[in-house]
Amino acid sequence: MSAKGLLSIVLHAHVPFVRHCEKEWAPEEDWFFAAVTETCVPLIALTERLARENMRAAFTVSLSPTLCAMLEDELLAKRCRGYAENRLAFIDEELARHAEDSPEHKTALDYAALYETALEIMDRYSGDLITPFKQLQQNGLLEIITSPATHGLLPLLVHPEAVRAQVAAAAEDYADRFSRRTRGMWLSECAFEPRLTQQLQLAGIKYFFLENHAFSLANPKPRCGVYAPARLKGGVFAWAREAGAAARLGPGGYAADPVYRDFSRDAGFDADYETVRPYLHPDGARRGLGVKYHRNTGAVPAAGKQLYDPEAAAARAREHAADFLKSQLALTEQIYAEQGIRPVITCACDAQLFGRRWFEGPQFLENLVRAIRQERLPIQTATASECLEAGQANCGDDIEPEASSWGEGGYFEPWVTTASDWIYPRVNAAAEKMIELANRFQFQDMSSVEKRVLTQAAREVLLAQSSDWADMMRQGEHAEYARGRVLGHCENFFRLARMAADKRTDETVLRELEARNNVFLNLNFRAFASASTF
Amino acid sequence: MESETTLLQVKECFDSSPLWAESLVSQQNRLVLIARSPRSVLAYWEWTGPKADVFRKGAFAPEVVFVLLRADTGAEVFQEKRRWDDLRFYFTPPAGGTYYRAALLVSSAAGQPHSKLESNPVYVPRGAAQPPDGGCAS
Repeated sequence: MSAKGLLSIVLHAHVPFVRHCEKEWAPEEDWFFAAVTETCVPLIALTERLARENMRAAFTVSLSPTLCAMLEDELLAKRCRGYAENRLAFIDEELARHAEDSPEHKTALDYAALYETALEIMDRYSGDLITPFKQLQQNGLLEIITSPATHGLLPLLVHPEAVRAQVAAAAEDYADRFSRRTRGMWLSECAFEPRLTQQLQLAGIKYFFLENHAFSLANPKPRCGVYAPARLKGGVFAWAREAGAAARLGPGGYAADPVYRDFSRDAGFDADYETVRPYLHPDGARRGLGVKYHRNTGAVPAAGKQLYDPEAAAARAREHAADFLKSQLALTEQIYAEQGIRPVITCACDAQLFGRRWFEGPQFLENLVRAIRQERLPIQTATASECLEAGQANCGDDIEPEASSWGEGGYFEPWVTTASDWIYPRVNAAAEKMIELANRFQFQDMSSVEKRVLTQAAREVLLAQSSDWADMMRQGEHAEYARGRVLGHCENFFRLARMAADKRTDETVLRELEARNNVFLNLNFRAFASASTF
Repeated sequence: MESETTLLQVKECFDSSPLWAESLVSQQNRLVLIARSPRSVLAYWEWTGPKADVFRKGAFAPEVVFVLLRADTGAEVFQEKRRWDDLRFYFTPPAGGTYYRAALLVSSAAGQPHSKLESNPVYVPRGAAQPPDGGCAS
């Protein structure tokens, strides 16, 4: 069936660098383990399942460099295994506690399958989850792209060199890991301002994604709106999220259906303390254990939520896939009639919505691909690179998209609040010093130790720039952790900067920081230099 | 371990003093603009220890003048008096879709112009009639 339109499903997966090798356990590492077991593994599994039946997911998956670093880290692989085994042990107890014909038992079996699959895939790839993504890309089943090195919010970085370092470090990290250059970049929080275009072009980025008002306020407006790539000066392309698809796939869309599993209630909080105690962290604090027995239900307090029915939820995921395809086909027909083009509909989402927040999200995605094939629908999923090839003839004149983000309000306010604005003097001062050091040492012969000092200094600056810290401060829940991270990385940076400037290295400190913050193994500190080339 | 100590010190530092006051003493005198939206820009500035001392000793006027300029023409857009140790404030630019820069004018106690800090250029987005929703899925 030839397609009248293309669906570009883009899933952005990111977790800040939360590896804490200096501790026996750290609750923040659970964010990574949850992303692995509830989003990454289900995505790998569904893509493999479809491929076994000769179907191609053709999704574009953005894996942030910090997530990638953690996905192939041996310590975290071991800890993630422990996390999944702990959950399975708890689920076993839950299965024994609930009668076989009870709704809870049926639901617990689903969770057992989830963590068993996670262990099976982790074991199959010896704990290195970059390998399956790399293979799926090599087999043409997914396209993998990157995002700024530590998810720095680029429009808030005042030094062009700092922007360039975020982009270049990510591009180089991707090339090391995936044995090819990235074509696309997911800008952190879809945050864009016009001066970024040149930086992206310099790093060899072919395309990136924006929120839809970046196009509606662009100068000039793109000829085909959000339904074709827009070419920017310098030959870089941008895609904008299609608002209707974004709303359907966003947290308030299908995911909020009353039949779907509720995210907030969890047996880790609901069950007797003595029951859950063996499965908690050593501090004994209650936490989610991933066994959630309730459904969204509707606008009721948590206590009024009804029990989850996996079969009803699976049926709803099939209905929603059908509804989504129907709406996208109607849109395709409409755009074709109005503009005479074969539209590309960009459905760009936070990957962690699928699986983690919207438990049935991976089923929805799988149903989508199956329905297209089985019902021979005149629409197909295609990777962003394929969509670019198909759609670039419809670009029209070069545009300049408007500065924007996908955050609340559409710009950058969520990351600069009175709770977080103190970050910027520190982070910008560190970047300025790093630029000065890179300029000073870039052409100098250095010992390997001196190079390591500058490289680790560059890592610490990048880690301090992560947009996650400001976001956590705004939301409040993990604000203290986020504050510690910003202050800690800046402190580490200035200590290393002093060592570099004085040419007096404390190797004990250096080794410890390298072991602790071990991202971007092949980072070149010269990425921060004012006239760096890459 | 060394780094454990560092983290502990950092935490104590955070608990005992406001984070903005800590940036009062910097390695450089600096004025920075950061655009948050078409309606809001953050301006912050930092002083070196010796410069801050001069303010404290009264050799400089305690009021500094913040001047916003269009980056393309250099035309002055507005100016506002602030205290030298305000260190930050948020302002609404007159229009989006353009680049701005700013200067902070320092005078001697006698009112004679003394020095000027200049900011980075900042792009302020063009605003929509209705603030966009933002589609953040997280």
